[in-house]
Amino acid sequence: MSKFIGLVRNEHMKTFRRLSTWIMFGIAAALLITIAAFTAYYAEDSSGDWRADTEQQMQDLQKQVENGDVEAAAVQQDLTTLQYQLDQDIAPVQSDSLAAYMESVMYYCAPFLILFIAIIAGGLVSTEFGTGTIKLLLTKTPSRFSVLTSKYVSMFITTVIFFVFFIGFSFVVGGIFFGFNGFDAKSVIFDNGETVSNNLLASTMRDYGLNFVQTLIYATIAFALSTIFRNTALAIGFSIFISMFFPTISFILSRYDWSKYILFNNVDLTVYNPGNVPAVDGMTLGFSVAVMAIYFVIIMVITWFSFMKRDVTA
Amino acid sequence: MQKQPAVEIKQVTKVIRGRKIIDRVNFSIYPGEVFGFLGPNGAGKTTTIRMIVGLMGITDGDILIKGNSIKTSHGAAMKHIGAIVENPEMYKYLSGYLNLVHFARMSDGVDKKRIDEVIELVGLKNRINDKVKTYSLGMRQRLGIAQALLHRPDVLILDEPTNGLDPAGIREMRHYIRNLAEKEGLAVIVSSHLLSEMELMCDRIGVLQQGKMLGVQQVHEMSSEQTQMVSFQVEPLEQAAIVLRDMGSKKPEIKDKQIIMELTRDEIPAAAAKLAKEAISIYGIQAETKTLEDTFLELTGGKEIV
Repeated sequence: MSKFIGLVRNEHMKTFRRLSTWIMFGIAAALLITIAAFTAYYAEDSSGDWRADTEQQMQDLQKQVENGDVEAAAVQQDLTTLQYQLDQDIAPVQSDSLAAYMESVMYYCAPFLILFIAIIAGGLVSTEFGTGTIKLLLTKTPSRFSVLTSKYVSMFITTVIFFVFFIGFSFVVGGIFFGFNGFDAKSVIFDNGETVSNNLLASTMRDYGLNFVQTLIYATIAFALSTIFRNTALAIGFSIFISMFFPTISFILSRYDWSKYILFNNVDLTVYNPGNVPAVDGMTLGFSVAVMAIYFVIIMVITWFSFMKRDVTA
Repeated sequence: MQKQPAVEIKQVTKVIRGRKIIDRVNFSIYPGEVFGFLGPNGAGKTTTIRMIVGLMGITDGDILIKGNSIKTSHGAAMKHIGAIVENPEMYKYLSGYLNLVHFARMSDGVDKKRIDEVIELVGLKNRINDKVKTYSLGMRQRLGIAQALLHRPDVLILDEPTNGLDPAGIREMRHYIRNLAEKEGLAVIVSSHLLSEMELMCDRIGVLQQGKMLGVQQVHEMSSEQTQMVSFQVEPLEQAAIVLRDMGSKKPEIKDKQIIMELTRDEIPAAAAKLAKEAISIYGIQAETKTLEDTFLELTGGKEIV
């Protein structure tokens, strides 16, 4: 066991002694600071009375309906939401608040996390083949199984480190720019004909958790391709391509019921959040988790089998 | 050589896509000896070495390292092996020291003291904290040997250890390998295409061609007990030829103002004495050892050797 921990430490040393890893942290930090600066710069003055503003907004909407500019049904949802805010005494979230910043950062930057982790995961095994170091790695006492497992465990921990860095850094940057307050900010969501509210910071953390699952699946695919094809470019390219373009493909395929069995239609669990809808009708959270689990096991078995059985000719 | 062999290669066969790359190869390597592995390109040297260290599977037969099968007990077998397969590839963006830390973590009982000891041994002390990408090939080779020796193996496998080294480096490497075998009792397997190099370094040499082991030869046997071509620079030539006529197995030949004939080692001083007795002026006597290259060419039928 202590030797296995040594193997994981080795993988970590190799990941974090690389300049490219630190460039990724640098890009992430720059991104978070830039978004905070822009948000602070363009934020509207919010010192006024939010109740009066909300009532004004409702009156504007009603006026538009009376003038025939918009259909009544189209704004019904907005009106209900605004009324709910007044009734429940929930102040609308200001864009220049810590909670709103952390939420928007999560939405805009989740793809970057997939990108970074896929780049690291896609090189973990194939780089060793590319440089020939795989020969040294496999001619020591640890079995091929533990060498590959240590790499996967290291990838998992690296993903956790990236998420913790992202959340922690955005919290600190957001706090510095917008003040460490407003932790009880609530967002109002229209879900299934009902209006509900939830704590914005808590829902952001939940979505980070769901994004972690998604990132891990894409990282696993990059890791698997890296191991099976021993080709870094293919592993990184394919996983990033799918993560970016699958939403479009999914939209085209959504009329076919079978498309719900495609792995990539099930990796984004935020579609089951209140107010969102899954790609194909009738999909549930349990269904997606089950589909992911089955794909995960199949991918892992193929990857490990391929690594343990094949001749090393690098 | 009655010792228990360090490495036993038993009837090893390797088939890749229906093609027999290695065909029932059989040999053993004993502690304290340097075994040279020789053969033309594509003969299967590297494939055999890869099978010994477990990088490639064995289609048929078995390889035992100190009695442990590489097929069934990889960990126990690899404990005894230190290897560099082809080039000494290390993590270039890490320092030499961190590379050694990396491999120390993969082995049992290698502490900081042992790492320092090995660094001292290969003479990399001054540059060990520099990144490997700044190293010369010779230094990488030394670092490769350091990582192979870290866990005190009984068997050292070096694929083309002198590849890319300058003459001084080759000499140093040769010295080093002989030392490890003689003083530390390691069994060393080296492969090389530099035949003269192998002759200076190895105790025994196995010749592989087209996946078959053509023969294993003792290096000393090869050079001392066989006859060799001896050339005499003497005056006058005709008289000398008559004097030497009944020595050796064949008649002396006169070529390029020299007498050339085949003699055993012991016959050379006798021939010189005879010439001196007849007052023939001797300007030089050269014995041309039948080189390993000649033997090698004979064994492989003179096909391309690179």
